[in-house]
Amino acid sequence: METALDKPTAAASSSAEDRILVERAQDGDTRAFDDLVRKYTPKLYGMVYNMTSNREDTADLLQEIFAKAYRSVKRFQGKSSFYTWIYSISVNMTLNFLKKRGRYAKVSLDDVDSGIQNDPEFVKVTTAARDTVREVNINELQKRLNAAMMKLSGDHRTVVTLYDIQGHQHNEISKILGVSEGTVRSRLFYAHRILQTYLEDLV
Amino acid sequence: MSEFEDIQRLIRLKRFEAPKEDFVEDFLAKFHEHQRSEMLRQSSLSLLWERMTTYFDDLIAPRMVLVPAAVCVGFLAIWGAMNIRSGDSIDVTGSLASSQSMPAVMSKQPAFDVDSQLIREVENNRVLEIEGILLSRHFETDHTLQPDLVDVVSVSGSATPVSAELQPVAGFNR
Repeated sequence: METALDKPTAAASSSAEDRILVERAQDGDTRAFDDLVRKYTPKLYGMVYNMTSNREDTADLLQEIFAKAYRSVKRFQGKSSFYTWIYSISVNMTLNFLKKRGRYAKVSLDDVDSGIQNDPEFVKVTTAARDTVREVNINELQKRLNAAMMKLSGDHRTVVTLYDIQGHQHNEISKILGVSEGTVRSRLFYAHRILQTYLEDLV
Repeated sequence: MSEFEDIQRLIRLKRFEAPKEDFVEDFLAKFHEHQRSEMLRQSSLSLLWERMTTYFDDLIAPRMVLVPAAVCVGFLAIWGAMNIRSGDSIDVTGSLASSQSMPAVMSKQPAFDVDSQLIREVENNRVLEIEGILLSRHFETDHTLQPDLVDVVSVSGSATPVSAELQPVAGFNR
């Protein structure tokens, strides 16, 4: 079982592994870049999806994110970890996408993941948390969560996604976003307060 | 414990909204397709760029001469056109000024009526007079006229010979 003490070690080895893959990719090894894509697609998918609430947009955006990363990987100098670098690209591109989408179209809040209600772990968690999450249809719950997330601004949605959903630490988020930890905490506090007003009947 | 603990626990449920298991490999296959199409597009663009630069490299010297020449010709053409237009505008404005300074009645040019009755009568009289003189001379002197007897009739003020030795027209009575 992974403990808190193991986390830095795991992160360091992951970072070292990334560095090797990046160097190989910089030398033109496309398989090394494929390994990076395999490794980061699930994580970045979660981040982008929870910000866009749309699977098609998420898939398209991820293609653009990795294409940009591929074009830029030779210029990556290793000043930050690849993990921070790829997340920064993803957040910036997603925020730009949300700005454009906000100008031209309304988000479909009905776009929910129908497969999640069959996810055994999800069912287990929601059943265990029945005292908190009152009797509510899982599909309805997803809609409510997505709707509440969409009430947040892009910046606030980003910190909630990175902190609450993806489990990043404040310092990691501050590196990814290029803001201070105080700003991250402030944004989180404000975002939680807004979410509480929209979801208070569920808690 | 944070005051937003419950909200955070609720929001954390969204982490289960993960893609399907085969998503990553499908995504990677699509990514390769995108990369290939992008490379093809880039290579065609670079090929086009190479051809264009080669074309311009060959033509760069003549073009450098032609361009200033074309500019000069264009400038002269525009300058000439502007001068012509400005000349026209001066004439137009001059005529306008003169016509504006004149009264409206006077500005109307009098129509020269060549068919007026008076002029026609004068002309007819002159023709008849000339014809009469000619006929009288013809019938008076049936013989050959002397050179010093050549008559000169002046209609417009200048001396114009109107008769000379008249010969009978051959076969006139036929």
